[in-house]
Amino acid sequence: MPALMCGADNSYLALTYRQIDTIRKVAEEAPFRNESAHQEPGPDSLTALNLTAQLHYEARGNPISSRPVTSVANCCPGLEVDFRAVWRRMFTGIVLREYDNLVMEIDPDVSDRKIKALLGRQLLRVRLKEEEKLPLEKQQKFLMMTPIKGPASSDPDGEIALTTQFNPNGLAAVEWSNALTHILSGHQGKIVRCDFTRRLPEDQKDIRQPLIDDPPNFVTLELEVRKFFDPDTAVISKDLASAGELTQGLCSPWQNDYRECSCYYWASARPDYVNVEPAGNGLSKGDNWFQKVHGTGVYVPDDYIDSRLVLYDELFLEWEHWLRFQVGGKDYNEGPSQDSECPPSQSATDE
Amino acid sequence: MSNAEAGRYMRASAPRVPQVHLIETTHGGNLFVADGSRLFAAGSDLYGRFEAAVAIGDEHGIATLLERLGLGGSPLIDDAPLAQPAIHALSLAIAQKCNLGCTYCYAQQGEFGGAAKNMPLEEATKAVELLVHGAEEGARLNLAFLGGEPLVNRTVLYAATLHAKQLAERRGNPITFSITTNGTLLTDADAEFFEAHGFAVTISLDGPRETHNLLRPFKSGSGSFDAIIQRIRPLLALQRRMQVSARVTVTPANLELRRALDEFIEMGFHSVGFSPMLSSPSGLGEMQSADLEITLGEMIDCGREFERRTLNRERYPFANMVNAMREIERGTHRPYPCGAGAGYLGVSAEGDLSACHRFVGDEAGAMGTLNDGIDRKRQTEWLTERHVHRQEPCRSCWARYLCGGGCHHEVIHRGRPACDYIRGWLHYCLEAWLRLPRTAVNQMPSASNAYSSSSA
Repeated sequence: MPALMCGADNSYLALTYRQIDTIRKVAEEAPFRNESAHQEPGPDSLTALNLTAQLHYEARGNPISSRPVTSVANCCPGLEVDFRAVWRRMFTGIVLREYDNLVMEIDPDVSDRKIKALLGRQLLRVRLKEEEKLPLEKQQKFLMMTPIKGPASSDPDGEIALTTQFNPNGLAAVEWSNALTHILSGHQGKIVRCDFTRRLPEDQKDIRQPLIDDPPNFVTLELEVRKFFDPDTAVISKDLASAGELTQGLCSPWQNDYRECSCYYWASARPDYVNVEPAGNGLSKGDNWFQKVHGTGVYVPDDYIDSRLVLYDELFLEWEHWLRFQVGGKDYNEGPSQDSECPPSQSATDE
Repeated sequence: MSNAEAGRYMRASAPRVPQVHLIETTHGGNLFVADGSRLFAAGSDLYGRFEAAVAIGDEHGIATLLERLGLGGSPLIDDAPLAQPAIHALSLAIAQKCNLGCTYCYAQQGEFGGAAKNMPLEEATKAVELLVHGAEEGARLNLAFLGGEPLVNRTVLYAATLHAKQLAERRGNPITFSITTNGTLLTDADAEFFEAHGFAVTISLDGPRETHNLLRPFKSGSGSFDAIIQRIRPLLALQRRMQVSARVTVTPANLELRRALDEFIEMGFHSVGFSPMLSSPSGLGEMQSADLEITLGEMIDCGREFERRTLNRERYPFANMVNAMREIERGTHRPYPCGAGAGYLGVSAEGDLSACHRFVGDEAGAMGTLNDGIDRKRQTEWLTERHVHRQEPCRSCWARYLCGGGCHHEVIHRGRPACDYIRGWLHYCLEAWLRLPRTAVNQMPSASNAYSSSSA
């Protein structure tokens, strides 16, 4: 399970101790890994067979952060993958949005009118089919929304309900890989009972309404939990995410967020610290990827205004020129214009 | 299977380098990487290079090959001992007395070298509360009853079960129950109680009638087999939620495993497993290297029958094999052989805590008391000392994370006389896993966990 982060819209950061430990271990050695890694010749020379081999397998040419456990996945807008995308089709027949649990689509082959009527409603809670006959208070309940509590500026050490004008009940969607842990454990391929909002929400404020049991303000439908992995493998099931869906939510170079989040944030697909070499004093030297001139051995900290770095307008207009492919943590040599400070438009004028 | 073939497995699995082990099947060469218990099919050139490096014990060369393949880096298991985990399983020595007189018994006929005694209800209640109140939110718990013969103290056993169930339900922790019994005192009411609460019931049986009677007689000297079979038939017939398994302790006097396995499976046991006797208080019944070689041959014979039946889609619940297949499939890798002294503790009849059920009354595994709580200092020392990286010769063995260093109790009291046996068995199991279709492995029902440690 990748580490999960969230940006400005919500406040969750989900890292397990195992993930923290893994990241620590990776950080100890990652800059100076053997450069000849993955050069083993021979077709199909190594095939991962059991589950640990598959989970920890680093495909030839990929960086260490390409493994699920070492990547920092999901964010607004996302890093290597937008891991939230895997939850969309967790329940058969409907497509959900993890951000707020809204039903965004109904599968075309669904004929059940009750399921079709879920479009636009919000998943509030999951319960177990086998506890159907127990009184509600005795059933296990897996909430998809939870009250947000935290310190207030007036009371930094206190804990208050964090309400806003648009969220008067102070509710937030629970991060799904936590919310659904118990459902995934032992209920994949089985039927569960899902409680959805009884009426369609009218606005943003309306999608953060509390669940009320008596009288119920929800409708309950039985849906099957899909299997997370392809049978007998550690591969995320194609039933959960079609090709391209895990990356379609990532931001693009011409978008503001791409520049906004600096400092080791773009873990592997967009590295921050490149051309790294041992400095001889036990430390390392290298370039900030956003430096216009590489190979200086001096890392330019990003303050958003230093002209030695690619700035917003330059990125939006000339991203194809400034952004360089990285292979094995170093600039890929694309030709003599590589280190030019001049963007293509100016180079053309000079010539 | 001949002893010569068992010997061949022992030699083929001998430790050469700590990082990897090579397994050749009719489909080609396979690489087992100890770190993470990862299993790969290797192309012939690559396999040849590993083979050459292993043959001369070239650890540096192997490290370079692994690094190039993206299999190097920081190990998945480091030297750090497990941080003090929450308790999720307790075993209660609910009756430190027994009506059998097994010569090899680690509990010395149930009394652990002391006076015969029952656990009072008050202590059992405290133990249950230690388990449930100390549990992490939503954690699955297990309460086990052992002895001696636990059914000597039936009233407290029933009461502790009901109390645990009630407390765990109130806190939202799923709880399971297990009992290891000699079967001589079982009643119809017990069968109904165990079924109602989904007990994992393990019956200690050491083989067919004559063999069993020789090894597990009543204290009077008369055989116990017929009495046990008569009493367990209702349980075998009733088991739905309950699972009734047979556990065979293997000594030099009962090495015919295949016969016992087939007989017990035929009787309707949920699973049947074998555990070699490596350490007994008197030394009687302990397995020597020649016995272990015969046992390995028998185990592999049973394993081959398991393979044959599995391919024919027949159920053949040989617990050691089922567990091994599941652990290889998952790539189980662990720095300890079991949860003893970590998330699992034993409780004596007088309320002393120990690393597991075998350390009752044994200072080597003392872990505090119910009244004073878990001795955290001792637990930390235990987890530090018992880490497989601190064990010799485990540190240089390819099988260290599958085996975990061997049963703490056996190692502390006798050492490691069974490494060749364990490695030979694991080598065979790796071969079998590679032979069996993945679908067959994944559809196997789980078996009792009672045989998954050093006895694999």
